[in-house]
Amino acid sequence: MSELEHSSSLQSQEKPTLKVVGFVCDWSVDLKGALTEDGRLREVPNVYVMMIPCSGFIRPSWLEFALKNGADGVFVCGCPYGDCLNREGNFLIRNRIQQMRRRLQRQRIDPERVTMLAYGLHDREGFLLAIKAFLEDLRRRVVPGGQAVTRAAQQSSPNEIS
Amino acid sequence: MYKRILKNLQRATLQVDVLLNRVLPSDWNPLYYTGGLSNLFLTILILSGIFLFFYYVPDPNEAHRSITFITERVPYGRIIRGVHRYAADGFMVAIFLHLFRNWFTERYLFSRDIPWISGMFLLGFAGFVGITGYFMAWDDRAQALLAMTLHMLRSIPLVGPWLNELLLGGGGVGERTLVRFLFLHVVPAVTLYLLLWWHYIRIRHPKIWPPAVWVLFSLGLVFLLSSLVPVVSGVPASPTAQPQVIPLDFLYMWPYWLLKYVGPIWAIVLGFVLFSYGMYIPYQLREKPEVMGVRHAGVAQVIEPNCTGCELCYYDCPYNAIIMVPSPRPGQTKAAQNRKLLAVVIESRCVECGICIGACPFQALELPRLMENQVLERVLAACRS
Repeated sequence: MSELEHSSSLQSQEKPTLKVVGFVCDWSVDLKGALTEDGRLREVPNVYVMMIPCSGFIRPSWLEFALKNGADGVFVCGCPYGDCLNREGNFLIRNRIQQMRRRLQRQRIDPERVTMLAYGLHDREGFLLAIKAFLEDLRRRVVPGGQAVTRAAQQSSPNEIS
Repeated sequence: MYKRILKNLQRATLQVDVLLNRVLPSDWNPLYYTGGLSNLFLTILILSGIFLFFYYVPDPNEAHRSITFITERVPYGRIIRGVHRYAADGFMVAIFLHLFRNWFTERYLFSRDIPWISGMFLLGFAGFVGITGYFMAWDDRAQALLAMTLHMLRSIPLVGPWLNELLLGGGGVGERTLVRFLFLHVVPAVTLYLLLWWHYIRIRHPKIWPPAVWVLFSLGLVFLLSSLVPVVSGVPASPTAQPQVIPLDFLYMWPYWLLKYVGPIWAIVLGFVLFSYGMYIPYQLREKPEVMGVRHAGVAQVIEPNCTGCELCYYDCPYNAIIMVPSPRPGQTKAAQNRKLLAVVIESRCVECGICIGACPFQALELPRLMENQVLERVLAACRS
């Protein structure tokens, strides 16, 4: 029993803290009171959230910039598809992220580190669940103590080939 | 208080969305297509209306008989007549859903007041067309409605009796009366399209048609209803008939409903007050810029030396706020040196959403209070912390 506890605590120590940068549309999930002063999510403190006027405001190059400057994951959250206040913002950014993924793949950056979410104003639970799932997914892609691995590195490592 | 009620209504509206999105894929959610559904029902109404127009005789003695002819003799006439009736109900339901949804989710802010104001006119015209439609059947219900309408018009001071005569085309119901009603039914219906042009004018890619599933569903629904529950007229109107109790539906007949509780002049006044209040809604609860924070990041600005005239922002702007003009001089960056066009933001149309910033790959657009380097600085600070 004590061994088990010991090993699990060791594991959690080994797990690096992930850094995630998120852009959240101000009209989508209501995060009033869910953020600390420096813009982190209270429930998931390693997620840094920036409010923006519409998810279509995001330039994909900003997401790339975040990934290259030490963020392990990036996400954009817009309103549910079809419900964008400006009708198209979330569809536009979804397409742009889709195009960006191929660009990232060419640069040997794991495209799964970027994700697009869509949650309405009062769907904070769904949003937080999705964030936690995204973090869980990221954690699997991270080498201990370092940044998220690229897909190329994953494929070349002997454990992954099956 | 009022603000809190609106907030709760918004919460309820969005929670219905969340529930529907659990059942359906979110791009099938019918509540995202209330405008498209109204347009669909309007199309059904126009097409079936043209069919009915071929057979309808606008004469007090012939009108009821011509409708019986449509129902009983004309192939599929019964179905088409039912479709016209039930699509009118669907039209009103879709319009009210559209109105309340856009009201509660604040889709009237900034330059979006143009669709809102034209929408109020569309609502008024659609209601008017619906009401005059009830007179077409010229049965006992139409007669009772006519009596109530005349009663209402007569109560208007000074011009009341004159309006009465204008509506009837003479001292009493004569052969000119139904021609006038037919005119009042058809011409405002056509005017709806003129108003729709105004409704769409500032919208770049309006969603004017629902997904195929809902087109088929609505078509099926009106056809099924019209064959299962056929529409019937009452007894023909006649000058000697006694006024009696008639059923009034809530969608179109609510002004007549009011007559039971208030005087005729007050029913008219109330209609005007409601209409004027509707026009005032977009200006009622304007928030101060300080409160709006990131929602009010300033009108998008073109960084002229960087603009290459590629038109990407022009295609993506949802409000037609960006136009391309011939470039007065070449730009400064390498990509902008051979430009033919230059993007210009029309400030009165901009809603400060920043979609053009996401569209521009040349760093030629900025929101003044949320510039690119501010965003990047914050990203960097987050990554380094």
